[in-house]
Amino acid sequence: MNNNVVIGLEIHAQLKTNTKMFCGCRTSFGDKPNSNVCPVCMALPGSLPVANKKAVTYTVMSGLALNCTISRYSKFDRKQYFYPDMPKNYQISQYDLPFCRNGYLEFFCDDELRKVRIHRIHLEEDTGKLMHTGDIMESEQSMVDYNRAGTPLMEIVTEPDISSPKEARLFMFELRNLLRYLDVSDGNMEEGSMRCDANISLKNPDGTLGIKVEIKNMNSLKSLEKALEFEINRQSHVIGSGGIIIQETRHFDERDGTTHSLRTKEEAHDYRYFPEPDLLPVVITDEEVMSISCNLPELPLKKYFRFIEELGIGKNDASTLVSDLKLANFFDECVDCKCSPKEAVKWILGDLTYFWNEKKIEPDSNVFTPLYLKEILDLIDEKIISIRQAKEVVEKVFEMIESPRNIIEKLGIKQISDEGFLIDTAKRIVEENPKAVQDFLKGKKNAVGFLVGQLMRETKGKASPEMSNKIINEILNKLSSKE
Amino acid sequence: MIDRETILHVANLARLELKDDEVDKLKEDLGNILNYFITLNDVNTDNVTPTFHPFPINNIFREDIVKESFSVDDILSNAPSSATTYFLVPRIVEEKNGN
Repeated sequence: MNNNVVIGLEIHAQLKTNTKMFCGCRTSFGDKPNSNVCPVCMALPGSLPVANKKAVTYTVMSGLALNCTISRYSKFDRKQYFYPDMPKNYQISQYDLPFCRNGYLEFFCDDELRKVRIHRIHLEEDTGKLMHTGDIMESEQSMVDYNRAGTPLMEIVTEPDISSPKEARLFMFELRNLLRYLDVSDGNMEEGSMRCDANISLKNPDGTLGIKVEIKNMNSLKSLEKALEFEINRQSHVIGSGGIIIQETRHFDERDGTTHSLRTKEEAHDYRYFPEPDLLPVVITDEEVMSISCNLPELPLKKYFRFIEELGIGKNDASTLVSDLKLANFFDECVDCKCSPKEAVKWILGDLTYFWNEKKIEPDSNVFTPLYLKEILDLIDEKIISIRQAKEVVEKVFEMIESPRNIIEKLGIKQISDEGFLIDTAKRIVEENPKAVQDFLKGKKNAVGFLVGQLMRETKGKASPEMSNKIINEILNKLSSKE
Repeated sequence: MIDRETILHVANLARLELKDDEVDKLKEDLGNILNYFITLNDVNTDNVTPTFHPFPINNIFREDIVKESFSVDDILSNAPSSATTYFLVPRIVEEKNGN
C-alpha cells in the first residue's frame, strides 16, 4: 500500500421520499420524460418552493448515524450557474450552514477498524437529465427531462482521511449499507440514486499535500476502486518523470478503466451563493434531535458486534449477515423464534442464500420464513429427519411454499428410527454380504461404512445414520466375539 | 471602486453581452451602489446576530404527500422547442463541472 495517497470523497445520495424537495411532484424513476414536473420544478414566475419535512428529517437521521453535530440553525442557499439541467439557472443547496458537520464513519479494512471523518452533510435538489440523440458531436440539440430535477439529494463530504482505493471502496460500501439501514436512500450506484466523486492527491516527499485531482463518473464500487488505482499510477508516473500534476477534473471511462481530462473552463467557478429568499431558515431543537436520535435503528457496526459478542457468531459470518439488512433481519427473527444462532447462520448463509439467489427473491419475501427454519432445526433435533433430508425439505419449501412439517407429511420424508425394523434389515444385509463381514473380521474397519451404506440404500436414505451405525457395529461386534 | 475587468467578469457570469459604453455606465452605477453599501461598514455589529431572512419566521415545511404534476402538454407549452415529451435545447458539448 502506498502511504502517500490522500483521498477524500463527495457522495450524493437521493433520498427515498415520495415527493420532490420543494414541491409535491413524484420522485419515481423511469416515468415518461417531463411527466413529474410542475411550475415549481420549472421555476415559472410566481411559483414558490416549500421544503419537504421528511427530507430534512432523513438528513438529520443520516447525520446522527454518522456521529455529526446537528446544526440548530440552517438555511438554504442559491447556487447560480448556467446549464440547462435546471430551469431556474440556479440550484437550491446549502452553503455555509449545512444541517450536519464533523462526524465520522467507522468500518473494517483488512481486519482493522478504520475511521474516516465526515466534514459536512447538506441537502440540495438533484438536477434534470440531458440526453443526446446519436453522436454527441453531430447532434444539433440536447433533449432535457426534468423528472429528476428537484429530487432531494443529500451531499456527504468526507475529510481526506482515506489512504487507498480499497479503503475508499469499503468506506462507500459501509456508507451505502448505513443509508439502507436508515431506509433513507436506495444507494443504487448503477441507477444513479447514489453517486460518488473522489479527490485524490499524492503527498510530496516532504510530507506536504500534493495537488489534488477530482475524478467523476464512477458508477459502481468497483469503478471507484479502479479509477483511483489508475489515477495513483498516472500521478506517480507524471511525478516520476519530472512532470507536475495539474489541478483538474477527470472523467473515469468505464470501458477502458482510464481517467481523462475534462475540458477545463477558462473561467473559474463562481457560483455566487446567497441565502435563498424563497425559503425560510430551519431551526432544529434539542428535543427534535433527541427524538430522532432515539428512533434510529440498530446500525451495522453495532449489529456486527452484537452478533459476535452476544450470539457467538464468527467474524466472517457476522460481517456477511450485517452487509445485507434483510439477511441480518432474517437471522434476528430466527434467533427470536429460538433457533440456535450458530445452526441458523449455517443454514442462512448456506442453503437458504443459495435458493434465495437461485429464485431471485429476497430473504423477507416470506417464501421461506424464520419459523420454517425453526421447524427444520426441530425436526433434526427430534431425529425425525436427517441433515441430508433437511436439505431436501428446504429445497421443497422453495418449490411448494409450504411448511416443512406439511412437506415431510405429504412426501413421506422421514427418518426411520424404528429400531426393530432397522435391526431386522441390518441382519439381512450382513447375511447377504459375507465378504464385507470377512473383511471386518480381518480388521478392515471400512467394511463398517460399506454395510451402513447398504443399509441406507435399502431404506432409501431414511434410516437414521446414527442408529444405523450403532446397529451395524453391534451385529459385527457380536460376530467377532463369537469367532 | 469597481474595475472594468470585474464588470466584464460579472457580465459574463450573467451571460450578458455589453457594449463599451454600457460597461462604462455600469461601472459608474455599480460603483455607486457599492459605495452606498460601504456606509454599512461603519455600523457596529459586534453584538448583532446575522440575519439570513427578513421575515422572523422559521420552519415552514410541507408533508411528503404527492400532488398531481402538470400534464406534459402544459409543461411543454412554453418550450421554444420540444420533441416527443422532451425539451430541446441547443447542443451542449461542454461538460458541466460541480455537482
